[in-house]
Amino acid sequence: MNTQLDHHVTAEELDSLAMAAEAPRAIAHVATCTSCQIMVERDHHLVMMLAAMPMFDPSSAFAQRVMSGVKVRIPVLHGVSARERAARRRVAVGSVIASSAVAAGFAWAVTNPADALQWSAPAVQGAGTALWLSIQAVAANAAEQPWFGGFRDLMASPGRAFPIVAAAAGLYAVGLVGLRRILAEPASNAGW
Amino acid sequence: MPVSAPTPADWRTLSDQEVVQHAVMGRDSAYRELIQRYQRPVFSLVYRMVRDRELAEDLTQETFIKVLNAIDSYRPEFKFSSWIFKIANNAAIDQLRKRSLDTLSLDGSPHAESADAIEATTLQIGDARESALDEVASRELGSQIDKAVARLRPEYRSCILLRHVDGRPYEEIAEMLDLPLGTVKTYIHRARNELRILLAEAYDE
Repeated sequence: MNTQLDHHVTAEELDSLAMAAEAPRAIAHVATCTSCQIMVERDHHLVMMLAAMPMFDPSSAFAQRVMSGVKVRIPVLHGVSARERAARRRVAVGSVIASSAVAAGFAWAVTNPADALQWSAPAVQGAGTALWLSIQAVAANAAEQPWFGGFRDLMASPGRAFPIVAAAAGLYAVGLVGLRRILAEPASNAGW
Repeated sequence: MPVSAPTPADWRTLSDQEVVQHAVMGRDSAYRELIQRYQRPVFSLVYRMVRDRELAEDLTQETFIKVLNAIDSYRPEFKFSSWIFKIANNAAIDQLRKRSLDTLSLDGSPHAESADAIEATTLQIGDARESALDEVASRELGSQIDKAVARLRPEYRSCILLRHVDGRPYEEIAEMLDLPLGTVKTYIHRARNELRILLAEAYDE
């Protein structure tokens, strides 16, 4: 009597039989064992039933709903995003136009110095006058303020004025750095 | 040199990894292709796990959004299908755990001192809404096999569905569920045993 054949079908063998894989000992045993035969038949039937289970589709708007929640990545080619490339292109075109205009103006002024001087003199004089008047107005306004006396006394000594100016410049620099950080793009999602 | 966008016919010939590469480059149609490929199997798995169509759709949607928003963290040495099924399965299992906490029947609060207090603090299995949803699901999922699968432990359920309904290999299931290969085989064997018994009982009735 073959003792190997006496053992009932193992889990591995049952799996092999269900998947129609090689299991010679199990096949030989099943041929002689009614209980294993029933079990193998039921298992085979079960696997067939599971494989035949229908699939289900989500609703027709599913893909659209998913896409509305997805942030499509901005295309990145050669390390530069498309948005960045477009911005660079705009800056380059603007620079070329501005440089060309300046160069053309300069060339015209060189070739027509008399006309250039005639046209620009009133504008330069007007701008200078306007600037001087503005400075005077601001100074007169400041001198009228109640705090001006104290401020003038404070700034009269270089020993006091220097640290105040340095502190104001430092505060301005910190403000600029802070603003730059606030306006910087957020870091990309690190994933999980 | 920039890679040109595939035509709709081309998408079908590309592997998941290639489609993901296009998605990483920011091609909207690559995202749609991934949804098209996986919405059916992922939704079917989740629906069979939670047995509530609306909830299954929400969980499937969350899964896709999570995966597609992290597409640049996808590691091509793993299968894309393993990744998405893993997240979907975790979402379904979490939901089932939450639901079982909400609806598990308990024999009243241990601090209840009177019969009325015990009755008042006893949680019932399920509620009217869940029963109605179950009924709707049962009508759609209908068959004896679906009912039997629904009675399995969630871990067995995901293993058996991934193995015999989706046809995933044992190794991939182990990777998806973060389980040792031997455990997956044991779960599937036990699930099949339980299903055989449940189906035999159903047919006897």
